[in-house]
Amino acid sequence: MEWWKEIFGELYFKIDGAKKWAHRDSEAIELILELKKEDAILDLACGYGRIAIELSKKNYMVMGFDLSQSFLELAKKAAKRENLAVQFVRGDMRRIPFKGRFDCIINWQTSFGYFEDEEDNFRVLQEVYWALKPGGKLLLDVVNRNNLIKRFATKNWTEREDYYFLVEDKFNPLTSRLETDWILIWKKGDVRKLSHSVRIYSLHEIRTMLKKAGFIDIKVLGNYQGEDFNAASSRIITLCWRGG
Amino acid sequence: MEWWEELYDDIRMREMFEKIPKGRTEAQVNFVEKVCSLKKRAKILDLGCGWGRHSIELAKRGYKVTGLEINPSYIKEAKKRASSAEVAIDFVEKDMRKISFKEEFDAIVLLWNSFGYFSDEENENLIKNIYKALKRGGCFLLEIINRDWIVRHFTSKNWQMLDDTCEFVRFEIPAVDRTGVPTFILEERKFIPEESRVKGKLTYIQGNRRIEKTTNFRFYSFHEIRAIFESAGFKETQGYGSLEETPIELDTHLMEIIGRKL
Repeated sequence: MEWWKEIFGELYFKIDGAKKWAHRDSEAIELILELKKEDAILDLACGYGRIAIELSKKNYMVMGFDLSQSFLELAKKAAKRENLAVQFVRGDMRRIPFKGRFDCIINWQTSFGYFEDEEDNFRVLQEVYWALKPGGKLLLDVVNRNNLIKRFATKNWTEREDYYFLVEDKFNPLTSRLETDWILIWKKGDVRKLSHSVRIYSLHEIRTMLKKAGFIDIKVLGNYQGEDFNAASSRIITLCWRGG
Repeated sequence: MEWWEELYDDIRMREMFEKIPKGRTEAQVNFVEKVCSLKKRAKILDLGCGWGRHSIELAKRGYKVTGLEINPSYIKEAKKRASSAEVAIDFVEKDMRKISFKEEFDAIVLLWNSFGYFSDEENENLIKNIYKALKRGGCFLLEIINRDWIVRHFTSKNWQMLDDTCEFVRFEIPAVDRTGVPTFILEERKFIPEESRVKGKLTYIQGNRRIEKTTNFRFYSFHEIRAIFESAGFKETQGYGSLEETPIELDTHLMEIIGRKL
């Protein structure tokens, strides 16, 4: 199911709890990547521009890349409001139309592992590799499988101002995918459901894929506070280089 | 109205019934027969009998059953079910705190976590009254959730979506209304270590309608139940972690606890 073509739109934007972390995340990215003002940066799967816009506010040169037309429209509007010169490009991350172009590529907060076919997920890393300049670096941030399977809860919910947000997670051990349903119960009466499915990786799998794609010097952090990775870490945040 | 009178409506009962694995009722009754060595025509009291799930199975096997339940709509449903099963059961609508039987029953069962609703003192009193209601040589089976399991597997939130698969009950809110909006039950719980209680709030939502209910369960570990049993007069308290008579462990969910009046 190509769910990623369906759910990334205005509704997702409205309910996305990550909006408020844009500043925190961009600070973390800036630090981990040791960004320089002259760096050409690609925010891969930029969504509605949450990170790209924050980085642009700090005067970095960022391009945002995403498949969702409605996300890109939201991103462009936000950039215009802030008077920022961020370029937003629509495309599929399995076919990145740039070669040797970027100093840094960011794939932040589980924008990886969407495709059902493992080859497609690998291909994203291969495309990233070729889109980087020699010596350029990738920052990849995904969920840590070891942590997810330990703290696994199947159902949760929160009450928000005008709706209830219900979550049901099902972890499929055969595919190592997390199948998630979100149910939105609007207080005025409607019910909406959004489903998605993401491949969840352990560190050794991520490393194997990155190496296979050609990356060198793989460094790993375990959370957004920049602490070292361990088996219990919530995230796998990898920083790696395209060889010079 | 007490919280358990509000909580246990037809939706709740239907939803609980759906969770029962096939063959569970028969297996529970087999277990009662075995551990209590029930004689033919034994007199049995089923406390908190609900829709009569166990009462009816016991009556089918020839025992003389009294089913006691506080909820009048459950009693009504139980009577209906007993009559279609063609068994005679004495159903009594009563608060179990008010039982005053004297040496009347060969066995008393209190199953499926129907214990822990009241104050600690009332809960302990109930066990004393159960002891009094038993004949000498009688046997009491209590089936309750293990406090240790609660502590180890505690989740503070849960929710369910009800669909309209039920044919036989009347809902306060129908599971699916005419416009096709399903009913959701959102639950949040808090464990109170000072009291060993789980206090919860349930929100039933359908469209723009909402009903709130509360829960307040006292949970016990086996050693506490054993002490309560013994102070009521029970002897030879046994506890099992399953109907297969495995031992109680930290991860045991339902405990089967047996007390005997010698």
